[in-house]
Amino acid sequence: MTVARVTLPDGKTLEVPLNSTCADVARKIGPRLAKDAVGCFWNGELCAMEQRITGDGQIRIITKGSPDAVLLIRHSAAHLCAAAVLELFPDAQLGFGPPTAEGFYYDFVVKEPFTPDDLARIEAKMRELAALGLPFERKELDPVAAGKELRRLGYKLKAEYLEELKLKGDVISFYVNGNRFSDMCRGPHVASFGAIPAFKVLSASGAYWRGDASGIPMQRIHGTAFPSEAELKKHLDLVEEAKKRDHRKLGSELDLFSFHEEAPGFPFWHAGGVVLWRELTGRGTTTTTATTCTSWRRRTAPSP
Amino acid sequence: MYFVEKEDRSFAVKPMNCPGACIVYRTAMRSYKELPLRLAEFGMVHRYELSGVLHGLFRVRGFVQDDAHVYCTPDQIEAEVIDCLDMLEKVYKVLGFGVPEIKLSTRPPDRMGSDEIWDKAEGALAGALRNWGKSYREAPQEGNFYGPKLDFDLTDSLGRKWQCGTIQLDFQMPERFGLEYVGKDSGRHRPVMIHRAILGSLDRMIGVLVEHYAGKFPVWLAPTQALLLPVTDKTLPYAKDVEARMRAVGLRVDVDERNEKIGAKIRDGIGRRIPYLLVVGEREAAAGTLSVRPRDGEDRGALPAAEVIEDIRKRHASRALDL
Repeated sequence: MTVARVTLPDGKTLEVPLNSTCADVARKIGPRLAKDAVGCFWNGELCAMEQRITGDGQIRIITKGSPDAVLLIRHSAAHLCAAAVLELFPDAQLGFGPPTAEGFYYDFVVKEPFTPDDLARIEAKMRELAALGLPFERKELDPVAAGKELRRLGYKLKAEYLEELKLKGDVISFYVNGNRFSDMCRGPHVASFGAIPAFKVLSASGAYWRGDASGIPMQRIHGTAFPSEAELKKHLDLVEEAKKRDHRKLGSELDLFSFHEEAPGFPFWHAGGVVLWRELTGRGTTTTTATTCTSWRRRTAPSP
Repeated sequence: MYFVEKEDRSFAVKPMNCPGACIVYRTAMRSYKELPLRLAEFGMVHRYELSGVLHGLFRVRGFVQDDAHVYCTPDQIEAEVIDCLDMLEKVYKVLGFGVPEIKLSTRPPDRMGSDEIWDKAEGALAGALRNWGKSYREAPQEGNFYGPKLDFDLTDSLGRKWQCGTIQLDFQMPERFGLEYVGKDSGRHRPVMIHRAILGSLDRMIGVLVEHYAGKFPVWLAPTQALLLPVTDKTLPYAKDVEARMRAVGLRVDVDERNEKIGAKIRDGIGRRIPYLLVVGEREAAAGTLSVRPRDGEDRGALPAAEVIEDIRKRHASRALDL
């Protein structure tokens, strides 16, 4: 087989020679689409237009200014974050750092959890790097060369991950920002660190390498990025407002329900909460069904 | 799932309600005349979640679903779905949400059932949406292996989306439980099963409502709907009398009998997000009025008690969203 069948979002299909790029597909659909394309989803995975097509699949092209285009901004902000962390914490080991529906995150193996001070310094370093511009340059390597490059960069975890995949003929892409940062990545990205319009580092939390709770603990830095400062501010205001009305906080303040260590994951409903149950269902509710064993130890009379 | 071993048998605490509905269906030989057969329950389900992901009412280990299972013929699907859509719309409106965003998920590559039944099922869902007149987006190949589905996303007052309602068609469960009905032709047939939930999880929906309203519930939901604030001991008897009159018409009312200054009582009442603070001073007691301070908006001044009581009662009964 020397062709690949590509299915478009409307169900239509077209054929391209094997090893064509997503950009080739866009050009085949139309010159305007090709011009406006900034990235795409290939079989559900976000990637750059340079991505090579090695089999049948589904494509969804992301155009400039479309809602999905924000994923590029967030993806690039994730790289910028990692770049800053490595400069401030040279011993940190990189995990993965994708864009998300809300922003981005990047995982690191570090000696100590990140403090709010660390996060402030990381954000400041991100701004420093962004001010330098530092365009994203895509480099393509074969799997063996890619493995060597990851080890040269000191990205041990990523090197192991790549080696496990045992890839043969695939092209592995890297994105390099001048001489300040490099990362194995499918892309897509904005033009440079400086081209990320607005970003913020939000918080850090715990995570595990490859999601394995018995494995290597990591620190996940959460951040967000938007096409403009105004949109970023609007989002941050919403996050603040959401904190103020966190249902766990209000549930306690307004005497609606509570949670207890004897039964994690089971709400205990108070009188106010039972009113809500009655109005929503026409009946009340019960207390939880499963509490820890200590709640059930047999009661004994005190010794005489 | 939570498992229990007793007398050499394994039991599981139910993580979903559907098998129970099928068992009830199967207790009698059903006739086509009984279809659509609708079994609804506020079913409590238990699902073990890792402690690291537990989150208030949004991710719990036990919750109640407003669940229903409808057994019907393929030709009845569209009308049933329209019925569900009507109910969904009514419920979301009453709760204070706008029109939900609807997603239709169609046949995945790995699936059971003939192309014919999938055509009929997807056609029924799409047909129901078209007839209902609301727009939706299609998620190709994202249906369950056992049937296509509709998902309903609500948007809250902060612009966040919550997937709440769902209508799922199921060709597999009736087969697994051997469900049948006797048709008009006296032959045995397999019914289609429709799973539907409107709120999804009651527990989670309450969490969503708390945040959607920031604790400022509309009157019909507010745990305490009105708080009577006697300014001094002298007006306490009058306040208690009004309280009794309000309770008699089914309102949830309290009296702040504490020996506190009125300013402090008002502050506390505001903190409790109570819809109406009713101040009772000597003038009000003498004139049979209540000084109405709604939670939001301007003070309304002194109004006849009977009027105030009736207004609040009407708002409760009509589930009005405003004060």
